[in-house]
Amino acid sequence: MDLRAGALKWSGNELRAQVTKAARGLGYDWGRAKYLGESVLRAERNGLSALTSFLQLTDTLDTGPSRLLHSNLHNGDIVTVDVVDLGIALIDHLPGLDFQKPVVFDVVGVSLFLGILCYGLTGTDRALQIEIDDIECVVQADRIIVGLEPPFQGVCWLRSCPRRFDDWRLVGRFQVTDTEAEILDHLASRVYAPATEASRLAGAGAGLNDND
Amino acid sequence: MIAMREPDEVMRLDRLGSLHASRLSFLRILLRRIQEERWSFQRTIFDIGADYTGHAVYTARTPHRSYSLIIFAHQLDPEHRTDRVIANAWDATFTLFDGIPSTEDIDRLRSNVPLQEAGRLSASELTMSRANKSVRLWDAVVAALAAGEQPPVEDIDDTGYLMRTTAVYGSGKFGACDREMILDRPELQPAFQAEMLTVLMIRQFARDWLEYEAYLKAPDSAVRLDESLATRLGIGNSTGLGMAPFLINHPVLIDHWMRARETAIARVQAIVEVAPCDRELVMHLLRRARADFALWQSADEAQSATIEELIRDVDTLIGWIEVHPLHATPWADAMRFAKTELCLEAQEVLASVMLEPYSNLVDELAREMAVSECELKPVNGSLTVEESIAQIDDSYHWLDDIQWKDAEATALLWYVSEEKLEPRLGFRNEEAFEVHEQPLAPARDIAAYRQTLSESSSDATLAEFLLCQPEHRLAAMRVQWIASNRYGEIRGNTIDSGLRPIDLLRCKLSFFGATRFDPRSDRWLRITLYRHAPYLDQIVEADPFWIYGPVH
Repeated sequence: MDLRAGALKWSGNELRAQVTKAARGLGYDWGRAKYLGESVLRAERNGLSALTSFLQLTDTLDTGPSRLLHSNLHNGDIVTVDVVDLGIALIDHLPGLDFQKPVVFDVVGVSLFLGILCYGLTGTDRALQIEIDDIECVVQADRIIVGLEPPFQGVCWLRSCPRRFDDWRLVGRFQVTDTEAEILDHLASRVYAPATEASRLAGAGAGLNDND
Repeated sequence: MIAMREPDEVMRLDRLGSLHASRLSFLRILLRRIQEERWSFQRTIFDIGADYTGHAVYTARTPHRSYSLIIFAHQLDPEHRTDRVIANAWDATFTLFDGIPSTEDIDRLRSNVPLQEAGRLSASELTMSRANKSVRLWDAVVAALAAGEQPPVEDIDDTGYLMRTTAVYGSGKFGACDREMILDRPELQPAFQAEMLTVLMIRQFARDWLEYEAYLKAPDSAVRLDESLATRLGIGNSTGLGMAPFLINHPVLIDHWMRARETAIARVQAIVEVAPCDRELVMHLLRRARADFALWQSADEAQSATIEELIRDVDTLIGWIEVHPLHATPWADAMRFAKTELCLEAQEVLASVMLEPYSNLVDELAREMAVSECELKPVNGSLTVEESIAQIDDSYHWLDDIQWKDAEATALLWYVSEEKLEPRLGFRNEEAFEVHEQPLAPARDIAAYRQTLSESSSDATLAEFLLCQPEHRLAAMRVQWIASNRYGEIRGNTIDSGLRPIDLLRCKLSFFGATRFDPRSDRWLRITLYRHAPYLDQIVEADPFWIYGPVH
């Protein structure tokens, strides 16, 4: 095929939808699966490789109830915890956290974690400053301001900071490698029901030929 | 001020399944913009050979940009002509290109667009679509034109379209441009404008292709289709279950659509003194609509009976309006009369038609019918369990009417087939697909969420609740969205054995501007878009009320 450079890149809609289905295929409930689709998209729109982080973690993520306590989130915990569990629990608790005193977590899958925080700040005018090793970034609704890709794992110091208003350009197309696409497809396929003749005929309810 | 109709009244499935197009329908929003901004259209390429295959390009020029419909015409074996999404060949395939395509663009798209779901688009493409000929009408009209004659108007009206689309994909599907990337363009800001522009230009192509085929058959005798006949032809569309989940999956957007329409209806009902010319216009349009309803045929017995009832009720309505005084909020009176005396379809026809004289009150609402889904908030975990229960009881009090222990209440389940990823509806007890169930039963899920909340500590926060009960997150988020978007939830059980999915389809299609709803089962229907609309070179000067049919 004679394709222009970049023509095979994914749209944001495709990325979000496929990550959501893959997360569901992993065993998450539809709510957390939706969070993951939104979070990966936000991080990727800001140039972070959250999809890679997510796929690297798929064998280790715990899709059951949270192992965290309310106090973990208020006080921070440098024990490594599941990034999806931590991120989602943290954004659920965001309205009650002021981060005036830094809260510290050891995070595996930092790009995904930043995407989850970014999603959690949707519709708010809050911003969080996060220090990971020597890298500093600011996360606010729709925007993750960071100079370079953060490490996959690191100790994150979260504190409140003023919102930034500098111009930025969001990434519009997403390069997904063949391997990544295959893993996503494999996980997402668990969401689909197998094709059967009965389903084909009765499930959709339409006739098969329309030569009117 | 007249209060808006309550969501409990408007969002019932039977009423959603009775909605009609209005000034706020997306194709009318598009045509108004084309008229106001005086867009021009040009057929820049029509390279279709004697074997009826090839490609064509039609370009719309707006004040600031151009959009081009690229068409690939194919020969299709009749055996492969199916409206189902599982088809893999069509009479013609289309994409709406952002700008003017180069030869390289067309070559790239020729390798992809004819494959539809199996092809890939780029950020330069806004939509992808395909259509099949309505073979009986197509062949009859070509034969008539080739013989130098016009086809009978009855044949035209019986079918109502030359080609029927079976999908119009947009919003980033198959690699196309994401909607959020083009939201800053005023012409694409209202919902589904790229899709409506695609279909508008497909309609022009269908007519041109038909006339060209007649010419190829008999260059010496062929004539063009009379304008008055051509105008009666829209573009057909077959719509199945694939569209139904949209209404459930986008509650905030649906709230904005319904709220805009209900706001318009309330504004018009609040008019105290109606000008005689405005009443005349409404009656005139009701008569035109009635004449068009008389030509509305459906293979479905129930729909046919509904059409008969609708025609009777429109007559009654015209008679009532004719003698009713013009002062003291007559449109509010008319709505009250309709609610007690007329069928649901007639009530909704009145609700749509009475908006027509009042562009100043209605048209601005079109701007409020879009939502950036990226702005939808996740769960606010600071609410307490008690507050969350109160939200449910406020928005979902109607759940009390559903007997969940009754097997019929959960008889159906929605799933996506691995075959072309088509949404389907099955019987829970007949197919072992529960593990694949889609989250399309908000009534059941929110009832379960409420039950679990009621068993929890009332002063716990939702954040604490969800640590232990993550499976209720989607329901928790939906309840919070619906608390401030009350028209976003259908007042009905979408997995009940009595569900008619076509009610969901009809609601969305009426917002598109569809007419001639023709249910083919309880799961799919055919409709027509742009019937009676002007063709591309006539839009700027066209009758703004074209959708009601010709003036008699």
